[in-house]
Amino acid sequence: MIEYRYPEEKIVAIYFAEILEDIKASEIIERGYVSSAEEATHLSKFFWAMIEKSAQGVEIPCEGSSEYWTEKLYNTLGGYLEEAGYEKQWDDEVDNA
Amino acid sequence: MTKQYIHQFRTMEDLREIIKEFQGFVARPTVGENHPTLYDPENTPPGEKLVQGLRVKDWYLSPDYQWVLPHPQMGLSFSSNWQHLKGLHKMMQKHNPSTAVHVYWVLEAADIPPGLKFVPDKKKKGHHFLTVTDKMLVHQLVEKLNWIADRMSVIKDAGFTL
Repeated sequence: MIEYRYPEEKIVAIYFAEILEDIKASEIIERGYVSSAEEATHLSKFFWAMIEKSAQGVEIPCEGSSEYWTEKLYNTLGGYLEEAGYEKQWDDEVDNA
Repeated sequence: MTKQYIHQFRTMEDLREIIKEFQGFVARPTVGENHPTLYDPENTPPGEKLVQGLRVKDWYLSPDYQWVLPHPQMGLSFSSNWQHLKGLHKMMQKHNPSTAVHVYWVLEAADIPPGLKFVPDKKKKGHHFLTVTDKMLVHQLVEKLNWIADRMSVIKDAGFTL
């Protein structure tokens, strides 16, 4: 399961999935885990789409900045995918970003 | 005084070649002329709460924000491998496209002030926290973070300035 250090991380991730209209990312985040390598890649790509959107300036529905919370999500989502056996999928998208 | 090595990079490949020479490094990408271990309210995104240059959510602070309490998994974030550093640098560059993002680093095993310790993140490879091991006043932590910053070496992003 994706374990967040702070509840705001999940709020921010769901918020970005909504504004990016990424239904699959929303499902993964709500479910709390990925069930395939394809989903791991999708979640990794979603993370970087979130960064691109955040860089445009996004007001988030909680205290703090989108830059701050995406930095926290970098460790949370990356750490989860590593633990789940999808380090390669995560690293590939870091390389592609 | 620790000897500081000044390097420059223009590409991520340059940076990788430089940083791989320093086994046991812990590093922080830092935007422009920002301080490597403290935050300036003028250069911090709106909404982030600061106390004397500390981001309050980074540390385990007393409710009155006077004290910093020990916590094994809270503190200032550092990258401790290339992959983590690369991703974080890319994130910061995307958030700050017109400003150079330099890399400040120190050896994990270097002497640091008492009451502080580098600890691996239990949940993410390549990520360390600089944690507090002894209860201290916020201004004491700030002094210690300044001490560390003074001894950090920098790899300058020359792509924006040369």
